[in-house]
Amino acid sequence: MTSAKSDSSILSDMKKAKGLGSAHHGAMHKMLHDITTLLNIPLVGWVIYSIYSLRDASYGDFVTYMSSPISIVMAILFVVVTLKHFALELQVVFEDYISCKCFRMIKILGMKLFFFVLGVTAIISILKVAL
Amino acid sequence: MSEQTTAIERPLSPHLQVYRLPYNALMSISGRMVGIGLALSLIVLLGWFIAVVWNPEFFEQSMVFLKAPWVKYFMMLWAFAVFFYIGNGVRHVLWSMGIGVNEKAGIRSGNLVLILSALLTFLLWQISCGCWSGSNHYEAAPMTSEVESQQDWEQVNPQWPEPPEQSQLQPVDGVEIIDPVYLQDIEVIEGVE
Repeated sequence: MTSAKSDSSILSDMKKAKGLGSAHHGAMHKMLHDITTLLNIPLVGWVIYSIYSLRDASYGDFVTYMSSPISIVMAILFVVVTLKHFALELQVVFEDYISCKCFRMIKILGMKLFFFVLGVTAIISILKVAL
Repeated sequence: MSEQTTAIERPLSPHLQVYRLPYNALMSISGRMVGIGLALSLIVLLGWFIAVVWNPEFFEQSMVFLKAPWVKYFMMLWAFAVFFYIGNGVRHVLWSMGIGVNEKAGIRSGNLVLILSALLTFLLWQISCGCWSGSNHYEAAPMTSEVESQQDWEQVNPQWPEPPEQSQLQPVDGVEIIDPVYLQDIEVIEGVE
């Protein structure tokens, strides 16, 4: 922590600011949260459009719809981006509202592991129904 | 690291119990609660997708459930939550770029997000219920989905309101049995058993 003071001239402001937050590594978290927010705009729009299109669909229509290349790409991106976004979001929620630090990291890791498994299963399902 | 580890029990000044949350704080906490709800809804959505893919019979089963009349209201609520959450997220992105970081701008952008998400939800509602084109895609199956009013319900269910329960008593020759359902309409005459 003292190194930032001793050699200050050559370091950029960003370098000095990094690691000084309470969590010591918040910049990437916030950046990813913002990026996934913006990426979610077209992806969630596509999901709402898909739900609207498939409102009266049979299973065959559903398979046909999910088999188009656009659907495969958008669905996989949707799964990855939203799960990453909500993993970051819920991590902050856990950190803010679980004051007892006992098992807090285990809860966060468990949530992330669950999201990871859910995401992998969802992507495999997308590929299975499409290919 | 820290020498002083003994917790000193200091009085805590009352805050959330006595404090009326200002507009920006209300928007902040509601945005976070909506975020938690949407995270749960995402788990449900992906769970449904995975279940449908690996068990195609579940598709038709779930569609029967999803065509219930209340589901579309729920979907509209969900869509509003999505629009609100994304609008709030864009606000956060702008804040991290240093745009609009003061109380009045926060109130203005918060109002903008609320109005925009309400407008988008209304638009989606109009499109999905087909009000503009005059056609209603739920008309094909009025029994399960589009029963808006009592009149519609009576048209598709002629037996409404439900007839009184059939009497369990069996008629005996020469004896007229009064159905217990109608007994309440007969005035009791004193002295007559």
